[in-house]
Amino acid sequence: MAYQNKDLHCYERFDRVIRGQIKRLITPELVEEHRRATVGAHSDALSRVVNYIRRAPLPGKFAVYAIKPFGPYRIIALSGVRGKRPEFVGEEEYATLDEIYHAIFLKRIENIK
Amino acid sequence: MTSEKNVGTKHIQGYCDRITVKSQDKIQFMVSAQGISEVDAQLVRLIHGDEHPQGPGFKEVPMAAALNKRYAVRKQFTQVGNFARVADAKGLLAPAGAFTLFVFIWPTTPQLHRQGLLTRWDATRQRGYGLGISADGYLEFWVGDGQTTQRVKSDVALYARCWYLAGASFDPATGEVILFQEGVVNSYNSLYSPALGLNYAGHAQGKITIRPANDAATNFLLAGSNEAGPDGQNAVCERYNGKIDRCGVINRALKRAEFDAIRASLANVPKQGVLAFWDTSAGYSEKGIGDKIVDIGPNALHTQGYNRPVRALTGYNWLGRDEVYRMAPEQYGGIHFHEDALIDSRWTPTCEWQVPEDLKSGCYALKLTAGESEEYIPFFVRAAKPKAKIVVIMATASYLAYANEQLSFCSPIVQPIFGRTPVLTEKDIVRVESQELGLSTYDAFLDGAGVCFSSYKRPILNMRPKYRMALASVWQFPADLSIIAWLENQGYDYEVLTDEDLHRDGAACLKPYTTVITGSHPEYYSERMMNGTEEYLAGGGRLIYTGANGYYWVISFSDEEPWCMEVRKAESGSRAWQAMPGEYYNQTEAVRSGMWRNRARAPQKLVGVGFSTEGFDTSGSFTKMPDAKDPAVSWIFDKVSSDTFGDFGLALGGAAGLEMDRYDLLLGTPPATRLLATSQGLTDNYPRVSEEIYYNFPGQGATQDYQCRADIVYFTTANNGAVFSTGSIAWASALPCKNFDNPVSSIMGNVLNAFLRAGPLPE
Ligand SMILES: [Fe+2]
Repeated sequence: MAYQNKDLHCYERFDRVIRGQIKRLITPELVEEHRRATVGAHSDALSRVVNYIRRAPLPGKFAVYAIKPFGPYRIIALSGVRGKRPEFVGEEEYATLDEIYHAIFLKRIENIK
Repeated sequence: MTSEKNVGTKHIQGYCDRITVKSQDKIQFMVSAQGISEVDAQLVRLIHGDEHPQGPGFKEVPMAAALNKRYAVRKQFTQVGNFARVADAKGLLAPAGAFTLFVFIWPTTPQLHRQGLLTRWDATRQRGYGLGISADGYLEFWVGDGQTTQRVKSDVALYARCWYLAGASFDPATGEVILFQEGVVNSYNSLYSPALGLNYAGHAQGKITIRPANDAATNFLLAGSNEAGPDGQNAVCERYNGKIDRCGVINRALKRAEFDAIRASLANVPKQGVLAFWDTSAGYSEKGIGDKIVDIGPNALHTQGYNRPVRALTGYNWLGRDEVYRMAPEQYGGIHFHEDALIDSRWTPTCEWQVPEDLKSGCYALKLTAGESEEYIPFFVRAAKPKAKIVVIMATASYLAYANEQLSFCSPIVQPIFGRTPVLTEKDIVRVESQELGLSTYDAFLDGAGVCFSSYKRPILNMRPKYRMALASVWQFPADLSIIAWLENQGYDYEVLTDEDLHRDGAACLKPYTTVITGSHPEYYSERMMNGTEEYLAGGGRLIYTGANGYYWVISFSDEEPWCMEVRKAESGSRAWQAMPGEYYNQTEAVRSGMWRNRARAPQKLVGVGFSTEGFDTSGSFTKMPDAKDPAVSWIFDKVSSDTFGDFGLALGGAAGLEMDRYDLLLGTPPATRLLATSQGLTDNYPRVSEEIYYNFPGQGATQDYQCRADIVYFTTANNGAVFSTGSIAWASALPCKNFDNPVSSIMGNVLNAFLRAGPLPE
């Protein structure tokens, strides 16, 4: 009974279209807007971009690893598999949440391009 | 296949057997450690739990106690998962001759790994027999003599979430095995419509030429197989995910026609030769149902669910008309077993302590340290004879609801809800990786079903001082310590109670106090807790509701096991999961669960405000509303001269944030309620809560919908009682800012001082 879930066909089609739209929204100004305010109120364009990347499926999704409670921080990628450890992404340490949030944002938009 | 794993670095974990104690009570601490052989224990009184650099930091007071010693510790085994064990030393279920097993099943993960349904099987030594599901999803019967294992397997795979009658008969004299597998699918009870004509039936026949080696020490099991644990103890592996309904063992080999007859009617279960017949629908009453699974056969081999398999669930014969077991208990024989459930770690106690007579009521913990490793086991000491005028109700039911939640690891919608990327620590990763500490009511079991029980007889690593939730703030217990720290700093004499006390004692435990203060997020309330609070207010009590999204879910406890909270998230509300149709009633108490709002007791009726929105990107502030200027109540704002206030806080930078409650006359906010202040500056990460959305349309975020907000309200009740509600979870975390000298602190002080004075309060 190895039936396929064809919902995935719709997801892939939809994701292709929306990625194209999101890609066109990414400008140096938008990246700068995110750098200045990584969370909170955003322009409609930046909201669309972060809404898209926050909804990504779990496997490989980035998260923040706090080495100590208030930093420094490292980027991890979630496994999406119950009980399976996340993996570190790169070696870099970030001093503040804003810095790592923006670094994750840059990685995510890089993946869209 | 055991749950034992060697994960993570060195760590200490522990729990206590009671969460609320008073002087002379005994409390036991259970500790397990990895890579550590000795720990130093120190009793501490907890004052503040949020290490945010803009606040006063973590604060504890070491206490002298006979308990303060060095203890030897080791890694303790945890048996995770549901099953039911029938000790069978007499071998009643180990017939020498022919026998039959039958069981109604609704498997949820047929293709995950081998799973036992009805077994008397020692998987370590491959001795005994079993009826189960093969790793590739087929019904299977097997016999082992310790040398070889022989199996007869169905030729038709099982569908998930469909009801079957499964069975096997075996005659060792001839070696003949009849495997029986037939669907029992109606229009309601299974995933698929009967109109499809799917083939559920599998009727393999085969020969098994060996006899089962039946050892006296081998238990008969529902929903698993026996194995030797890491220390040689009886452990259970091959645990089954799915429902089991009526099942039994018969001392002869039934023919196919006899299985067909059972499938047609339980009345056709043979009258003669029954070794066991568990009637999973027996035992329902107006009190719900317990863990006992009743054997109505002549041997009365009753059994007990382990780690509380879920009951009050629809069975194979559910007709979809009656939606509660009280109407048709015979249709509610479903018991859902989960391989990853955990109610009680059952560790050996490491130390015990008797609470001394003069110990002041408050929040305490046993602090355990070894080198860099640290663990706190919190518990609460109530006053044996209340003396203070103020009591804080520590929201232990809500702490349980979130216990060890794995949202950031398992739920793809967490980042959109948070409006930020989750912040995790090594401790989070270790606890999620081990899978030995159980789940929260925000998680799903491995098979996707929502978790409806949560217990404190296990380490709860997010109910700890200093713990920060992935949304970059403290939450629940460590957040509530900001209220404790504020009371301490302002010099108020206070005592504490827990939800467990309120549930057990009702209004009687509140009555000695002039003012009751809640935690920041008292979301989970039983009917007795609601009634106790209402009765207290009716009698002139005064309540400061220092939080939001409170009085929200209908929960239950069994009187025998107050450490385990139950909730069924019904078809409305901001919910991490939804109970299946027909399964909205709790089992530990025969009440409809879901939201209090849908049980005609919206939080607005009790505290003037109720849940309206939540967001976790940034917090907003408050602005005064016209009532704030009314001389009758303007004293609430003494020392708060500006119209806006609360643009600071340890919880995402403001006093109006995280989750918020709103005034609503139509939901029962008292008509004379003063709406003193309302939130401002919220983003669209604060959308309207789902229970308020009848039709969805664009623009329901806080920048476009004025009802996504927090309201601060005040009203009086009968006999000089009164309520002050802050409408926001972030409020509590604003109290300690600027060394406790800030407008939020001033407002709390103004209200509390007025509430502590006898006589009428202004309306
Ligand atoms: Fe909550």
